[in-house]
Amino acid sequence: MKFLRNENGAALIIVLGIIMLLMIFGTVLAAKMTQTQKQIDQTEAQIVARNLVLMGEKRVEIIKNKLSKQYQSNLEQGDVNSLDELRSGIQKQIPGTKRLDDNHEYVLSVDPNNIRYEAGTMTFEVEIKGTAYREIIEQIRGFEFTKLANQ
Amino acid sequence: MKLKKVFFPENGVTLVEIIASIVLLGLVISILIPIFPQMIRWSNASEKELVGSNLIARVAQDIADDEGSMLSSESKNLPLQSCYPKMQDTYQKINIAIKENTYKKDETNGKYYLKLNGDRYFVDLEGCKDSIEFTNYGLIRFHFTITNDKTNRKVDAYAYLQKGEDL
Repeated sequence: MKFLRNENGAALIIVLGIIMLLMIFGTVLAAKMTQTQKQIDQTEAQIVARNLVLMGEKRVEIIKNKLSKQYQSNLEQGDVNSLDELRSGIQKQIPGTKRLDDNHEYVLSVDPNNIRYEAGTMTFEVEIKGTAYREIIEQIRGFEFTKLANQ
Repeated sequence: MKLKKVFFPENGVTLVEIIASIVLLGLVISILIPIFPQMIRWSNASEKELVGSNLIARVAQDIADDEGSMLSSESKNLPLQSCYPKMQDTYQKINIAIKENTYKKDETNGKYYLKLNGDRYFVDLEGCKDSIEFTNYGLIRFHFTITNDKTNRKVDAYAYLQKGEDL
């Protein structure tokens, strides 16, 4: 039991103990800071990616309006072939990848099975994928052509 | 007496040990103390960066809403070209207020900014008229950077402006 009460070198052990505690504290704090910065970078990239999705949506909206102008009158006159042309126009003109720079791009894709015609309205869905750095935001947006010819 | 020895021992540490421990502690503290203000600065800068990121949607919307206004007329002079890969002179700097009432002008550097929580966020605009996007869809591409004036942290994004009738 005597060796337990030996206090030789106790101060050094206390100092070393304190240094160790401070180092653990510092390491935890530094890790937390790095983590916070990573999260902020991730959030920032997600916001930019979401913005790219909106850019893609705008492009689809414009293509849709162009197609609508191109085929609307034919369809209103009951030209059934124009319906197929419109369908193929959606499949040909909308899908694509737009690369804005090395870290930013958006991809538009259309599933042919989701182009539907019902009661004078053609609906289709576009999957818009915005990528900023390594963050990817994917959204599916629905569009429609109304007042088309009834079959 | 025995109890007194147990609870109030008079065996102390030597002066050399105390001095050594003070010196060591002093060294450790002098290394650690400057880290804390630095960490607070990093934390503040990160927070402001996040605020800047949240302004992206607003600036992008302001650009998109500008159809037929100042930004459109400024875009008239942009040459038709390929905007990717981005070269040094592919994008052209545009220094105008996207919305006159919302964006204030700094008279010292002539740049426009948004004021939020007492901080100024400078908005740098660059435009590029991509031959495919503009010809086929009438879209003008803008690359913008939002910079906090205190921390100089930057966030950048893109937005489309749809061609106005005058373009």
